Amino acid sequence: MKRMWRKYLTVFVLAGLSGGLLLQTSQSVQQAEDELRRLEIEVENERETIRVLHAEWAHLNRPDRLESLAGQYLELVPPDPSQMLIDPAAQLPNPFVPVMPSVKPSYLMNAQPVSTGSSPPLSVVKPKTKPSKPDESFNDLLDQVQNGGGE
Amino acid sequence: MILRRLRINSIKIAGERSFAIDQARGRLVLISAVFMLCYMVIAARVIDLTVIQGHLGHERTASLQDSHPSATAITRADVVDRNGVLLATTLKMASLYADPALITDAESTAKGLVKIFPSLSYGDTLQKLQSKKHFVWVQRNLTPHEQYAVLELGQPGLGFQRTDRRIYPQGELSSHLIGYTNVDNHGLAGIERSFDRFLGDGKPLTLTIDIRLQHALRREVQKAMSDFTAKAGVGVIMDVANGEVLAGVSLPDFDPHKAGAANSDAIFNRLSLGVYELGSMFKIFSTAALLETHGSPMSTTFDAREPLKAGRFTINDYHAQKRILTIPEVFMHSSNIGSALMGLEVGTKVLKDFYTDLGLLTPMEIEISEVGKPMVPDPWGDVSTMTASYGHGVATTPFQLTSAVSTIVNGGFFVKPKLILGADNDNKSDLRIVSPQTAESMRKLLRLVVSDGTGKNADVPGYSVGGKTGTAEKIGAKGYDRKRLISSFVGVFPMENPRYAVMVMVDEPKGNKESFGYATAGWVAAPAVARVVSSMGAILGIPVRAQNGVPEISASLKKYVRFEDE
Repeated sequence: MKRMWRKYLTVFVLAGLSGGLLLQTSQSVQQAEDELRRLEIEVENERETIRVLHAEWAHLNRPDRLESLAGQYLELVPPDPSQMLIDPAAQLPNPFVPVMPSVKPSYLMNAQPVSTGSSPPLSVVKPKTKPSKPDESFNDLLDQVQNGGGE
Repeated sequence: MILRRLRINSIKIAGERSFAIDQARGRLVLISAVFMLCYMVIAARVIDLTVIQGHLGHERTASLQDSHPSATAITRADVVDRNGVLLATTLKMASLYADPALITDAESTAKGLVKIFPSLSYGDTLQKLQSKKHFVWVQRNLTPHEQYAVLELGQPGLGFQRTDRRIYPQGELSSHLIGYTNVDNHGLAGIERSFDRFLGDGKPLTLTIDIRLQHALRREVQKAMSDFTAKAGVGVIMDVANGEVLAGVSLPDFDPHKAGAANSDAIFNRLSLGVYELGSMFKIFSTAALLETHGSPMSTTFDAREPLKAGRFTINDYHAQKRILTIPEVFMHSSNIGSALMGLEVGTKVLKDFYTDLGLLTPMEIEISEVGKPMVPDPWGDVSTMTASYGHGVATTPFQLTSAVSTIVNGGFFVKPKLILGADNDNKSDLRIVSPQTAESMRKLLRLVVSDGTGKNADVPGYSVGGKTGTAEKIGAKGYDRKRLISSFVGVFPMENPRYAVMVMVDEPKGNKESFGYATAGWVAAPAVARVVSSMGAILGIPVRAQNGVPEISASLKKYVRFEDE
């Protein structure tokens, strides 16, 4: 009788252990699956966001919009064929060499006038820190300067 | 309890009945064990769901609903231009639905919804919310802001369904070529229609158009239309080597997002569906036919002193020279009389066959299904030959005309208009329609028109544009109407080695002060082509040709031309 009880006990313990293990395994599988699904949804959402951003990028870069913005904010116009070089390959600098020198040319550094007490100060055009009118165009500025000279 | 009683009973009862009692007890033990196991499993599962993964539950059910549509349906694929700029894409948009059974306060909910969506009417919305159904659409395609506002109402009976929506980031810019879709994302026109299945399977498409050129062309056609208060306008830019359509504009156009609201005039595709008598531009083809089939020298003359009687028609010249003209003179002054005589010399059958070879008389093959059937004189007699030589009595689509011009100037190889990039690498055909000699002569003649003839306004210094004007009268109630014109110009450049054909057509232009009241092609369409060519040079960075020293390609023809001041 005692032996039989021990046998039952062993069987029950083993069954319990394996049940516990099974539960733990199924739990970890469940959790891994949840994590996977979460990540998949996240990826899908990111993809969707990228699609939206692509569309927005294309929309904001519409040629007509860029044209009107360029007209508004740049002092540049599309080149006329008469401004184009006959053989661009031969005459244009290599586009991969930086156009702007990294150090300011020396003549710019020396261009500051030296004030000598008695003589009237040289008329130095100081750059304004802020434009008086933000939407003032370069042409307006030129007009002002010309009118001032005529008076 | 039961077991104990059984045990007590077993003490009392012994002998032959004890076996039966043992059996019954055994069964009861088994049954109770099974039940206990069941309860234990249920208990374990309850613990599992509530304690172990209780925190995951909400998230999972919510996200499952959310991801459902995207997991099953394939999104309709993108359409991009030749540089990869997005022309059409599909975005997920939330659509609002209501479950009236769950709506607690229909009136206040309806008020709130009307405030968010001004387009909804209060009565309709209230009726929807009070209906007995379990699902009613309230509003399709919400913006994120609207969605947020609806969530703020905090009404449990309102829900969102994520649906696909076709978006055209470039707006109306190329609406006639790309087309549009219905609410269920099925293509109804253009590429969207002809490649409906293909795009629906999630396969992206690359078109031959270049959105920058498309914009430049649209801008200039629009300008020509507004300058001359015209009804409609058409523009085509084509690669002459392979017929790839770099830009195609049909104005007025429409917003593909609201195609249903656009009127039929705006929806109408004038590029490929509209057929027009394009007038003198056909002199390119009749002259090429003469040069190709008869090998006539440039010095061949045609008597354009008198208007030509042909049946019940009288053929007159717009820019009448009233003298005997050589081939270059007929071409540069756009003499109808001269061209009609050329047509007669070519012969009816030969001319008709030549036009057919160029693809002008049969519906063209193109990747969209909106294709117009050319209008061909039937029966085609000698009179038709004469009028067809200068583009009357024959009507074709702007796409067809541009590709036929491309065929002649590219060296003589047949091309047809093409909208999809990359199907067969460069689409160069080896089907020869005219000889290289004829192609060369035609290039010179076309350049002569712009350097010295009716198309002077199309000239862009540095790009040696060649081309041909075409002014046709529209057919009114009583035959041709002198006041209602279709003015068009087809330009090709650079003429030494043609690469691009640019065609602009303006429907019913009215002369203005700058054009001295003229509404003819040379004043309306030619300047527009010049502006397009100039923009193309800047956009594509086309190198200009040296202007000093190198003689014009048309120079060798000048000896056949008598100028006024000589």
